[in-house]
Amino acid sequence: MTVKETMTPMERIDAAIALQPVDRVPVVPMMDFFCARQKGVPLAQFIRDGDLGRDLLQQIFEEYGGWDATFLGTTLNEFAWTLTLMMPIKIPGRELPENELWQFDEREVMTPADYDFILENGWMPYWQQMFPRVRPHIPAHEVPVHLQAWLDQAVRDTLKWESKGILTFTGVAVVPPLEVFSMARSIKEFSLDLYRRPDKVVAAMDRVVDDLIHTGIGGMTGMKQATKWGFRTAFFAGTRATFLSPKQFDRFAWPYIKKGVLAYVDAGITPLLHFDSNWTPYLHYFRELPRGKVVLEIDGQTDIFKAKEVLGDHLCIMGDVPAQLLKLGTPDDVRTYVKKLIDVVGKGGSFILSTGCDCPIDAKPENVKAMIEVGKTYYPHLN
Amino acid sequence: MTQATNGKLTSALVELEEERAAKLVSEQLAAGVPPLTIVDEMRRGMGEIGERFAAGTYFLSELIMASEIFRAAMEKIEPHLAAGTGGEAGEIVFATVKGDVHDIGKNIIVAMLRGAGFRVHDLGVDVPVERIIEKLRETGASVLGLSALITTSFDSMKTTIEAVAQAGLRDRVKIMIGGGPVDERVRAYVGADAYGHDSQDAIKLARQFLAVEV
Repeated sequence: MTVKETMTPMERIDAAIALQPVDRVPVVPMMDFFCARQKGVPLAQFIRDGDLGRDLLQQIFEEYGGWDATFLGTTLNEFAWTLTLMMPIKIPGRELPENELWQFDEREVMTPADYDFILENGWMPYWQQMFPRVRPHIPAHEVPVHLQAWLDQAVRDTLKWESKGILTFTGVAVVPPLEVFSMARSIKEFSLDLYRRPDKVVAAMDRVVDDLIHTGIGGMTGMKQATKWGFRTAFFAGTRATFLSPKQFDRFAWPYIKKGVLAYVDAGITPLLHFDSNWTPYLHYFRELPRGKVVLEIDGQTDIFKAKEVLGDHLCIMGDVPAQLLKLGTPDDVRTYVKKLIDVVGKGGSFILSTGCDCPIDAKPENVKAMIEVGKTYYPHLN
Repeated sequence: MTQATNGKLTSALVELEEERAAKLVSEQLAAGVPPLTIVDEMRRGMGEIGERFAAGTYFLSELIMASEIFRAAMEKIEPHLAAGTGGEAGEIVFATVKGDVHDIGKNIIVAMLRGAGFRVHDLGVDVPVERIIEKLRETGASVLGLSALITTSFDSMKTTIEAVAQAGLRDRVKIMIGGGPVDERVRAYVGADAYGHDSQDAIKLARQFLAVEV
């Protein structure tokens, strides 16, 4: 079965986001470290050498027949991530062997007293105070140089993809205060904070939320100016709000997610809600967001079929071929699952096919190919 | 036993009233309430919390808070307990496998298993196979819980379980696994006996394995 393509990748993605008809589902897998492993390049080298990361991704892109938009080659950048993700990271070639996957190293790097510091001093002084704790191996005075290098890399990569007519799907990370604090405090200590000092947590969130939003908008605007298309969406991270009870969610999570989304939409930016973990109990909240202006990207833990039921007529859903299926399944297992996704979640459009979060480094290449191939050729919903 | 304490401690725990629960534990110890009675009260509370979680009325932050109240109470009570008591439901060895440093899920499961009366030997994260085998031998535990968040850890789980078999322990040790992407496919791949999604699954499986009366 072959789909007759009548749209460009960009038209297809725009239509899916805006809840308009598509000729087939857009396919936008999140590929990075998988490419390094496939090409036999040690992960430490892949992280260090941005141009190499991009080139390997482009090689895989071409060998696998291409897809509709790309992520940046190396999604991990500990300098850029420190702008908003206050969590230590174990990096291959430093804390880990050369060829082992990076991992978050969650521990308490922020103390309860830091909430007071934030209230008194605001975001930037807090950030400056936190940086040496989160990245003790990077001298603070080198940060601007590293950040500039990352930005230059992002621009260079995006321009190179654009020269081939390929859109860079996302890049700049936007993080709500809950994610920032819970990463820095550790999820355990942060959960206890919600009982022990809830008012202080909220006050600190209120103090930083606007600065966090503006950091992201600034990055998106900069990319737009430096390239032809910029990033199609702003990467909006969320995972930890799923730990909260509905009452806590209403107070500590949702108001800030909503505020961020509205600010982005107002600025003409599409937020990509990269919401790992299980959001199923909270899906109805997303109906409060502007219709056809947001992408909800889920990772195999949220019930994507339920998400379609609750949100299918309201926002674009992206996901969610599960990591364990890509690693342990057969190509037929993958085809069956992707067809089901397209049959159910793809019905009526407003769906982007992707890996659930990152494509696992040890996915079977034949499974990744099967996912892309079915995504590009199977679409039973025309007419 | 509720006569001695009127169920107040259970209710303080279930309602996540940290200070009140701590105060009640201290008062009851001072009043000579048998320590095991206090522990039972706490466990009843943890049981209720687990049920609320299963019913979807309690969430993970509530399990974390409850576990913290329980842990602090046990710290106070333990010096009063006779050596060797406090883990009547059976012994479990728990670890996040070699190569994986994630422990949020594991810590919640371990805390809830303790709340259900199991003696859990938590070996932490990135645990080499040898340490797991050593601990299984040392404790005679017949349940092993393994946790992993990333796909590369499935291979580590598989290696661990193979090593348990090579050490001649597989016949007497039941193995349960858990973690974000773990499902039946992963269970079959690594050769575990069962998998679970949350703390209630873990408690149920541990009880089955150890044939504990519920």
